[in-house]
Amino acid sequence: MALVGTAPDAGKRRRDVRRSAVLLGVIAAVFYVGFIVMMIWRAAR
Amino acid sequence: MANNDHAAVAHDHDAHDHKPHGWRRWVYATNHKDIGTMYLVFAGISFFIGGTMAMLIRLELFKPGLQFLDPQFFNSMTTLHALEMIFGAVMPAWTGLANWMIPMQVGAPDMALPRLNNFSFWILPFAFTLLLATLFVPGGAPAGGWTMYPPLMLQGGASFPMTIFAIHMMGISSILGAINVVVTIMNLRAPGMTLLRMPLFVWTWLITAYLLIAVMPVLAGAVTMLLTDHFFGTTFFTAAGGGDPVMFQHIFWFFGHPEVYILILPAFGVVSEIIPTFSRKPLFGYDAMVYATASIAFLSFIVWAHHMFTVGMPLAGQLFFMLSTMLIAIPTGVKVFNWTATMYKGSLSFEPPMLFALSFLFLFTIGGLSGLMLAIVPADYQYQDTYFVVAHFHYVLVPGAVFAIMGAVYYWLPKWTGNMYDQKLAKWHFWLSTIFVNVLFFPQHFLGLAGMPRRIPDYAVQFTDWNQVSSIGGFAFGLSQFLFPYIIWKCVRGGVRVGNRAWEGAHGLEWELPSPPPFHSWTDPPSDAVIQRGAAH
Repeated sequence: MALVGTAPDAGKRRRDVRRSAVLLGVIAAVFYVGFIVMMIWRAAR
Repeated sequence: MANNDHAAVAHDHDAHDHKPHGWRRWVYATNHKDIGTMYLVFAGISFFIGGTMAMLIRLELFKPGLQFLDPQFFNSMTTLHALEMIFGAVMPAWTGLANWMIPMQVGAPDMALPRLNNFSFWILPFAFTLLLATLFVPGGAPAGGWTMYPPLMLQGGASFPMTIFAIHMMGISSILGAINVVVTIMNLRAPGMTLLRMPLFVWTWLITAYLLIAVMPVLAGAVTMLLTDHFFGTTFFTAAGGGDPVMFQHIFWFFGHPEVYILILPAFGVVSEIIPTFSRKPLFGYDAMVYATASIAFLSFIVWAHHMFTVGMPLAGQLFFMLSTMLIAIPTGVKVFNWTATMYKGSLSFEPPMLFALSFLFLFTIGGLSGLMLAIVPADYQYQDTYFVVAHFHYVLVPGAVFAIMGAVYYWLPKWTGNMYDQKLAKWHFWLSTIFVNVLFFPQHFLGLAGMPRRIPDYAVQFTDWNQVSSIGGFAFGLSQFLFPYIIWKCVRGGVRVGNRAWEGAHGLEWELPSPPPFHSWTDPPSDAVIQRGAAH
């Protein structure tokens, strides 16, 4: 991918991409796994 | 209106295109256009598989009595047709269009996470192979409807866990695709491409992506609970064990209603691109369109129980969900008004994308109006589970979402290939589709109001006439769709060359790139002047 060196501040942009991707990934994973675990935990009580 | 001036001068960066060749180009694809193409081809294949199932359904319903299909198989067809069309055709088609267009429209070289993009796509063929393989296992394919309500769904055979696993895979694919869209839009916009300069297609997809991230986990939770009820002795949805089957409906529709908007919001974006181009006027009320889209997305979270008015809920609940559902008519009305106002005093021309957009405008509105009828609780008690509901959601999804996808392909195909397609044939495709989609679905309103229930292979004899009309419309609509891949194939093979701006009234960054665009879209970000020219909404 030709991201490097093309944007005005490519390094910052790459860090921003990584940060956003990780943040959204964590949110989605927490939603995905959390919802299933919460339901099973409530049923097991 | 094709621009034949051969202005498609090769982009400077074509020289640096290290395009892989052969099967590696597709299996290891990280390029947004290649992945977009794969999504669109996958969606097309699913459309014809799901369409074949629809033809079988209409064949069986041509006459009362059981003709061709075993009732269990008929139920499998209705179930798989829905899953195939929703998750296999419409959603991947939108993701394909997002992949192709978002980087070009925001001034980015590619999607932000290209490898994740490859992974998101390649999950899908495995998920759908697994789903379709259920046709060949003992007990047959799932037959409890795409909504998978327990206890019926729990009675499935070997197909049950396969369906659940396939749905998990589709969900993960959608979430990863959505993350990619959000990260691309939020981080890779060219300097100067502010949020309120973005094309409406990008805006609607951004909101759709947030919806996907929010609701696909809910579906995953619901189907996992079904799985544990079936295999691990839990009783989430079994009344005998203290569970509640209605709870599944609440959870499912908390996913299911936003899902409807996942299917239709990008269509709003596409229509908002096409109508200004062929009206040769800026979009009327750009900001209002953005806020209306966000309002619809918000409201989609608080209307879910209108799908289940008849399960027996408190009057206050019925009133809340009825009124919140009716509120959706306001932002949707804003959109319809703005599209109409865009055309007002415009210099209109009726090329195939505009024809599909106009058909969308009229026929989606019919689907919206029948939706308002269904939102009225006492009326819904009569309409629930009848063909009126089938007519309603098919008007929203076929001349709504599917026509918008076709309009989008006809709009951007010259950009993708550098060739103009056979517009005469495309107009034939349009007219046949528009006429027969109405022959297919409009009589289903009458059948539903007369009391014909949905999801049955047989019916009382008084419903025969309109069922025959509907089936004839279905076969003609289905046959006319073969024109679509033929027109695309012919265009890919060659045609009259088009310039950068394939349509004279088109605005947006994608029209500043050559046709076809270079392998990597904007390796150098576009200048502010170019962005301003493109953002003349």
